[in-house]
Amino acid sequence: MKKTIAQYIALLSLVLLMAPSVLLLAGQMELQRVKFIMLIATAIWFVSATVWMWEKKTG
Amino acid sequence: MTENQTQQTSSGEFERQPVRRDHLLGFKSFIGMYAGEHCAGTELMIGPLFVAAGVSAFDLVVGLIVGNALAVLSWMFLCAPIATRTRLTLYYQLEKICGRNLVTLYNIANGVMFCFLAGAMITVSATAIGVWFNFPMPGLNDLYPNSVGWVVAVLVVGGLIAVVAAYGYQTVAKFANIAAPWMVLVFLAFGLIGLNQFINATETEISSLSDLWMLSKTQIWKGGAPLEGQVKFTFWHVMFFAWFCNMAMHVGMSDLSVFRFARKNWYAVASAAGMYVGHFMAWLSASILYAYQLHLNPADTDVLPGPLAFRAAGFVGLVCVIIAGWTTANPTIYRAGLAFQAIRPKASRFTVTLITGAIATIAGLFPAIAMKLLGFVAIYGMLLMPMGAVIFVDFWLLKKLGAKSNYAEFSGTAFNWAAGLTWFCTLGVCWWLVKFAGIQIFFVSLPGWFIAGILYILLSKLYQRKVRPD
Repeated sequence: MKKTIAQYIALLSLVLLMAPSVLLLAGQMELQRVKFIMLIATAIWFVSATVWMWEKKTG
Repeated sequence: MTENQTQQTSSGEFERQPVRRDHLLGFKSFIGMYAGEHCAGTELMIGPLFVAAGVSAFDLVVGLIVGNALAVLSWMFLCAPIATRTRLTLYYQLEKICGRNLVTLYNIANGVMFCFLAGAMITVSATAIGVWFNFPMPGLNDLYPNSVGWVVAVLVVGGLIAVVAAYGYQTVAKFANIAAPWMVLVFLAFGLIGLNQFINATETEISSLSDLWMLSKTQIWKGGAPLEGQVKFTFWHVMFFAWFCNMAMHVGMSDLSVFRFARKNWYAVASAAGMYVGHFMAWLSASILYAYQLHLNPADTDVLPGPLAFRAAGFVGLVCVIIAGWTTANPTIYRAGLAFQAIRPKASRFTVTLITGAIATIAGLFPAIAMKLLGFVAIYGMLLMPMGAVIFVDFWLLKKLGAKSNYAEFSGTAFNWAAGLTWFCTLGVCWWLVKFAGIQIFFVSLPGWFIAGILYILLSKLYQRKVRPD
């Protein structure tokens, strides 16, 4: 359950990571705000993806 | 390499026997592995160096599409078919053909090149430290370290990477797996942000793809003369570079060790994930950042991934540069250590990895390797390419031509001179072609492969007549 929640949060954080640069390109956001949101998304990704993927067996 | 594979190879499982059927991996494993591995710190150098080489938009985009397709086809039709038939590591396959002593020589060459490559990755990471501490960093044509701050930064970054690789390779490999999807998207964000910066700086209206293409042609990849000290890149340079930058892995057959785990040889098409994410999107993104730097100040020709990434994405950009350099230097140092350890199997892995890391760190001090990365990568591929031709000919042709394959194993020799001379003579001919025939290093490996193949057939015929098993 914990891993499933972490997985959803991690995937959402990737959306949060990418969306600002797309909005910037569309002229809908300022660069400073883009950098800030990317930083938040990065922190969320590394915490949630670690919970999700650390023990995951690959292959 | 996936965690599973790494454990198998590092623990010695299947190092001298074919991979068992119950250990074969699915297609998805290879997609993840290639996408992650080919989105590395060095992409942040290569993209800008294309711009420094005066590449035009058409030459870059189409050259990368075609060159990467040729690289994928090389994995699919040269490397994977042999890997899935023999299911042996490159080193064991080579040992059967060349003998133990020649493989040792190959390991030294491979290990040294890995050290230099890891050195370039350490250089990339150190440029991020420079943004924080603001010390002078090397310029595009610098060969030697140019400030105490730079030396200290490289020693600290390289030292940390070496110690971590020696203590906890597996932990960093896990961390690299976690960082990979994030890193790919940050590279994409670099491109989008850089594009936006260009649109704003040039006050261009983009309402269609043709507008975007016009901006690319006239502002980003303008073509024309290269920067001072750089070779002019045309379509052919880009295409051959994209094809051969991983030559050691596909044509050179290093990835026999990877695809021996593949259920089917067509799984090698997964390498397209690495090529079109890392060697297309990431190169284009990084090159946009550098082109924007030149647009702002044409005199600022320094290729420094740290400042480039910081300007685009702030703190996240710096973290990306450090992680991209670190997570790719880590397996590179580890692999170099494995190559060296094969020479002295009784040496401790810890010590060998530390020494290897120290050599990579010293290499990283010299910006020449990173700043001349296009040429270095071409040399790296060329150096190991002849052995790939030897494996290909030995596996597919030698028996049909009336000679024995795996001759070292058959004859018990520790140094198959047919393979050895093929390697040395091919490199000699390639060097001559570059030095005296005016063929650039980026192109010479293609004729080199055919020369190596023909030489190996002729030399094997002669050698096998003279050297027979006891």
